[in-house]
Amino acid sequence: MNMDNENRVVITGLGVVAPNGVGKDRFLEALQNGESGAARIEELDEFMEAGGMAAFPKFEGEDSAFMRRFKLRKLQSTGILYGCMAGVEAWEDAGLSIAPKDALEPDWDSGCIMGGGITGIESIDYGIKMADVGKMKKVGPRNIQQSMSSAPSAYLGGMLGLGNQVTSNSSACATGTEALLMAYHRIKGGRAKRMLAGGCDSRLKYIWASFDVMRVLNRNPDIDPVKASRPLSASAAGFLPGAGGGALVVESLESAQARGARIYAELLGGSTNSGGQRGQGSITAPSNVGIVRCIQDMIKETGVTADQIDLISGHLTGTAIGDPTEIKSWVEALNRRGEDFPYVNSLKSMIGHCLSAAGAVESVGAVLQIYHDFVHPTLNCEDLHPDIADKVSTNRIPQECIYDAGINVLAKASFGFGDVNTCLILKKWTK
Amino acid sequence: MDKQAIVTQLKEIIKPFLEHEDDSVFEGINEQTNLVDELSFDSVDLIEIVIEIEEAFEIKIEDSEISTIKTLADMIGLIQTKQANA
Repeated sequence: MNMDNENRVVITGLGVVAPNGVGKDRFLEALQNGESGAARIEELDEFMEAGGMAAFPKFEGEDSAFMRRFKLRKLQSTGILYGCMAGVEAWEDAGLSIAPKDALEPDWDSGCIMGGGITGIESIDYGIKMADVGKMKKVGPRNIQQSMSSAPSAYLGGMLGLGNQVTSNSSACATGTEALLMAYHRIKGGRAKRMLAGGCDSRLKYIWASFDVMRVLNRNPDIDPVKASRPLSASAAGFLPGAGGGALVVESLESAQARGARIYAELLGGSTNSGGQRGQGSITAPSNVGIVRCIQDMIKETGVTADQIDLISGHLTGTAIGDPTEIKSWVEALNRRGEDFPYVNSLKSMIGHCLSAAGAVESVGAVLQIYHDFVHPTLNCEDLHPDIADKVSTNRIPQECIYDAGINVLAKASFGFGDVNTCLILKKWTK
Repeated sequence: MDKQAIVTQLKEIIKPFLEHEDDSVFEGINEQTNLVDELSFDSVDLIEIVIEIEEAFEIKIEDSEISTIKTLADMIGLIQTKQANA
């Protein structure tokens, strides 16, 4: 493994707004208990053929308290709110302070890569509706700051007073994981001491209409929402809409140790690529060769060996084609199968598909699994897909939480529209 | 339009900007309350409030006049002057 002490990169802070738990502690509890965040959502019910099922964050006043604290007036975009809440939680969880508003200079050593996808859609929707009925002034001066692609990082950068790189990446469902890898490289290259990295996305009904007509959502009208997200299952029938935000403080080991920070895990790096929409790949479908190469490049880049990987936190969305393709790719890339296959799980079975937030929320989950040494269950996969069962032993896909699981090396994968892939390696922290 | 009616309407305009604050913040507003220092309104808030005022009172506020607004009293004065000259 790549263990030279030069610019080692560690995770020192976690924050999350997930459909099954707002805040790191509540989220951990939900992961270990296998709690689903899915529910009937009335606003979607009459809007989509797939019906009103989704997994969206539920608040008990945390959202309005946060907006009060940071004086976030007329913040319409839910994704920006989720990203900011997760970001501030991660920052403070890392023991970092927030520079006062009247500070003369920002924190030059700290930056932010908070990715997004359709994050500003509520604001865009509002602006268009006002403009279309001639109420141009009602579009308001605040519309653009919430509509722009960089809104999540722009808001967070201002809240925290960050003076290093402040940007928002966007790579569809690989966004959050890619942000972590971008942060890793910035720190590894010595250009920042710490980066707040993650992703967020909104919940508005218009996001889901196109997925609905693509027939990639679970469209069974009679299914219990908690049973609708079925990654790895023979009865997987499409994914479940999700939304949220996740953030991690990625920091140089030197900086973390100098300030006595808690270290959750080491980030060894990873790989990002694209299948180029060739072969089986298209703008909406991943290519097997792209994924295999991404995994193999991750192994080369990080210096781990295939047999060292203890757990794969998969992309695994719950589509009938995607999950078997993903597992096939891991088997090919690692040359491991059956009982020898690493543990593999899918957080989307509990939180649905949070799009640009997915990789970030799931990476927070991945770090928690390493730090607390457990493997969270995958819900609704009691009937493993035969193509998956053929390659991976059932006891490598836990349906109950496994504690003291001996998780030392974890691979996190995310794949996205555009045939883009990102894979990371997280390792239990040892000096 | 008498002053009390203007104050009542102005408070209605300001209220949504304080939706996440304790009720006491809104209830404590008086004519001398400083919008920036006491209510933490930023330049975007002020522009949005000016847009609302223009619509509600059917007046036009010039760019140069926005920077003169510091308090509710400044708003009231501006509205009364504009209405008197209309």
